[in-house]
Amino acid sequence: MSTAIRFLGIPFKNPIVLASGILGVTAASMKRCIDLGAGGVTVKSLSLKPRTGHRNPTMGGYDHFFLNAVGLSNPGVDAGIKELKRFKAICKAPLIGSVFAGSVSEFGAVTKKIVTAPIDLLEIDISCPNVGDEFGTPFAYSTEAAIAITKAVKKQSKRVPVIMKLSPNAWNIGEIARACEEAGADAVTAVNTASAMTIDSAFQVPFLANQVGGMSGPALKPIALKAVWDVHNTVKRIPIIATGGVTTGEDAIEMILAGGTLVGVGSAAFWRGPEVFGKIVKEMENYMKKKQVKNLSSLIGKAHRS
Amino acid sequence: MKPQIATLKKITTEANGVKGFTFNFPKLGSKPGQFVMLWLPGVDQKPFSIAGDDGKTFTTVVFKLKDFTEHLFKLKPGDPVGVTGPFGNPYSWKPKQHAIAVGGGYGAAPLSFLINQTRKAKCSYELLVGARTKSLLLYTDHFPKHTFLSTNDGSSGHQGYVTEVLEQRLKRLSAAQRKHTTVYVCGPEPMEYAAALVAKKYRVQAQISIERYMKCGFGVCGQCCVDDTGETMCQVGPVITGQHALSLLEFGKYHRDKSGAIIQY
Repeated sequence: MSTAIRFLGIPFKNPIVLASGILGVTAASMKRCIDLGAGGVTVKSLSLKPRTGHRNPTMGGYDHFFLNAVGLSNPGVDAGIKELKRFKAICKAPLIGSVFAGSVSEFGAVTKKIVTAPIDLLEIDISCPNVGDEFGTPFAYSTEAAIAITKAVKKQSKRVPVIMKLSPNAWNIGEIARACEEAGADAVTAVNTASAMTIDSAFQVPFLANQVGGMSGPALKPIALKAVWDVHNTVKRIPIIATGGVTTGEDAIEMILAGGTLVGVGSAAFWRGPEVFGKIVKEMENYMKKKQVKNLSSLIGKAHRS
Repeated sequence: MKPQIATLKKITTEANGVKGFTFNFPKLGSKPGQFVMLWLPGVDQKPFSIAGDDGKTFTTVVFKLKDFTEHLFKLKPGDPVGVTGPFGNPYSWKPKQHAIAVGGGYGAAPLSFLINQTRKAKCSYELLVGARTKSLLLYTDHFPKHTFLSTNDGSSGHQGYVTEVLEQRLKRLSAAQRKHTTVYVCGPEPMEYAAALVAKKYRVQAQISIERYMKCGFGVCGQCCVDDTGETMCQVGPVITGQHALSLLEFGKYHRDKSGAIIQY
């Protein structure tokens, strides 16, 4: 029995990867996630220039969901590349780079830079719901925009496989995933956070400084699961990183049954601490023992065959 | 983790540009070394260390900078703020031990909370307070006969660094006494680094409060992760042992700003 799995030819000791934007700010913090059991890590998204992000409050944790509008703070791709190099110097686990930009040409420019870093895969964040004031509607809501960005980054990505990160707010996420595939994407991540907000009844104002933000955590899981299901139904051959509300090993198994190959985990750390990665893997192993599953890849998309 | 409303009870002047804010907030249940997030809707939300908690109110001592603290300084008794917490790993002590608290600037504030708690555990104690100049010294008369002052310009107490006073105090102790002593440190990091080295030299346990940029306070944003362990200082810290601090690659050398960029000390 083994949780090991290959994704685009790259071996992962288990399918649980740190999702972008959580904990993964530095090489050391990403290595800690690996030490605590993750099979791979995704860096927090990098942009051409440094960004301080939104004012606080940028994050709130609740019983069943997590809300954030950090505003894509990052030290910029040049400083980020140093952290990525440092990660590979201290850790051999697969490293997924992540970039975002405000325009198609800028996506090409930031991709050109980040692929000089020793990343194994590159995730393209076209679906952040928290920077609408600055960049408008997320590109991931539009098939045309998703195609244009996929083509622009593929022109610059050289040896590095490209993963397009999609939004649960796109009603036609399956169609968009298929369009990305046709435009050359090597994989997709489904999904980013869902557009959401909370209002503080005591102060009678939106809680987030940005007023609106993105929701993750258990409340997102059934939505993410359906998105993975839809994407698996529409794409021909590209694999999926299934992300959204995965908190337990059972959640991760469900995501794989829906069509995920890797499974992203992020805000679960709020409820279960940074040890969540190892805990989820252990729970998956228990499931595999009970169900006599020899290798995980036999479960990918299995629920579709019922 | 919804913010709870606390109303401002009183404001005290602690030093030049430094004020204490006491909020009505029953059952915060905080320990010395922990922090709360204070939220001023429409302004910002920031972490503040706790300088006192009597079960009915808590106090935080704030140095006026800009933005958030400017708004905080304009509050009047009765005004509401949003509070979440307490967060973080606190200072710890054993009954009847000896406590040497070393505070730089407004770092002395959480140490006064610590001393009040250690006194309840029948610990002996001394507070060493340092600042650039006399007008910036805090808690000069809260613990008479137990307080040792220092200023860089010599305007009050020892002229020089508070860590030099620490060394003088440690020299007076026998090897047996040092075994039952803990040095508690809170202040600017270069001073904390020097204090950790002095404690190490005299083989005395130390506990140090590490300040790093924090967005969430509960281990998710990753902004306060330190090199090379990647530990979140909001949960593993703010208080860590001197030995732990000295093992960190970045302690006393650099930290990261709001964007995650490295800033040298």
